[in-house]
Amino acid sequence: MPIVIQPYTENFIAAVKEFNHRLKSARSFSDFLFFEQHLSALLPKAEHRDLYEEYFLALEDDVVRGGFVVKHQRFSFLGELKPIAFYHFPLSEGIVDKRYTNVGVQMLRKALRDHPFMFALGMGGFDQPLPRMLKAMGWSMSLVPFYFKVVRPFRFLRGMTELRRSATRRLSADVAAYTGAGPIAIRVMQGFKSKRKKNLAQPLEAQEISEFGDWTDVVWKSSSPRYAMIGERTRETLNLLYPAEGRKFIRLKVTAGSVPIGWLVLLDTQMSDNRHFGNLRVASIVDCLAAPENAAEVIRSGTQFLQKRNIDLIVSNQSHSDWGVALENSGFLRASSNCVFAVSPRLAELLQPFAGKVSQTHLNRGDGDGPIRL
Amino acid sequence: MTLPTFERVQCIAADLFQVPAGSIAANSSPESIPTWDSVQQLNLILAVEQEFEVQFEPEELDHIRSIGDIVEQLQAKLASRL
Repeated sequence: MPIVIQPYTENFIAAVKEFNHRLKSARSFSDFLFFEQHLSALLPKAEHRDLYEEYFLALEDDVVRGGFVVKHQRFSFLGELKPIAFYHFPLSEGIVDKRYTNVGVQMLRKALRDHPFMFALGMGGFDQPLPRMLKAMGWSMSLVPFYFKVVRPFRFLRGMTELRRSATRRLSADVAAYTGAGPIAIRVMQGFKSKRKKNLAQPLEAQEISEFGDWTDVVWKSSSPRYAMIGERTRETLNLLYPAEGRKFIRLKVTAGSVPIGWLVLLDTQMSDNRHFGNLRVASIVDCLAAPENAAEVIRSGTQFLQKRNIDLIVSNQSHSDWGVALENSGFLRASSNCVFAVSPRLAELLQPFAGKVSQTHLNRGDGDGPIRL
Repeated sequence: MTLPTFERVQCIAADLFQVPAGSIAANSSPESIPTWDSVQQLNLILAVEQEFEVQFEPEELDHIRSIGDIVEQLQAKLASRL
């Protein structure tokens, strides 16, 4: 039977459950299961709304063989707004049954035909199937840099799963932790990078807020034209992306004097047997915005706020070079990233030359899938 | 199916899947070739499109489940260009 790709409607929920059951039965783990609800819980399609998600299914005679999600959002390109599609969560029965190897290609081509200005983000590294497919289709790619700051070195050395994957590495980390050499080395490295230079004459203040107010639009209007590509971050979109109910997002308004210069969205998560972070308490700078010249102050405010909490580690992904420098000035170190930013050929036309423009884009964990696994 | 078209597709597939050309038959499919996964499926289609200067629509891809299917779809596209 031919494969038909169509929007996910309520009458296919049972078929998606069967699809997930087949995937679970064929694989020893169930990392990859499709949504058992036909509408996005966070970003459903609504009238007069530019930010929403649509779910699609690949059907073979009403049997689900795959699915994917398209997130729609307006992006600013040096101040010019354009609707852009984000392709994510493609899942095909081809991963467990080679008769459906074709489904992944069909879904991707269908999505791209409908939305030529498309990007993908995250994906776990260049060696994963989706980035390899995108590369084959001529998409432009780069990595979104990853930064981290160790707040409690002893706990970091003892608890960071990534550092303890073998007996040798566990021993090295333990020796470093118990002799005190590790904490000293971490503090020296972070202190070496840290710079205290202040750009603003006015005193800075970081105030925790429960939702984003009208001032957010002022920050958006003044700062968005400064970025080669940035997802819309108006008051309306921010309150949709980081709603008051649900996850415990920390929203910080940063002011210089009484003038708002930027904001941050933070998370503070007690990990539990996490495959990267073990049982550490990990904070993340999920999202942020200011004019590039104020990035250092905004990052410093967020870092100081988080360091007062009982956290072990702060992490962040930032594509823009000024935000990267801002993190390093606040004592963050850069580590290898597996967060791939891939843009379709049509979208890449707006970012030429891609290799040079990508460091002027503003992408972080607030984009794409959002702060999952953080 | 005409021999030259099949042979050209056979060579592309053999090169891609790193198997002898002689082992690629019309009924060869992802089920019979271990290295034929979803990424290689895309690479095969892109390589065929480039070789024959055609572009398959998503609906046409639906009919491609074996080497013979590719050759059939290809011949239909090439014929429609005449």
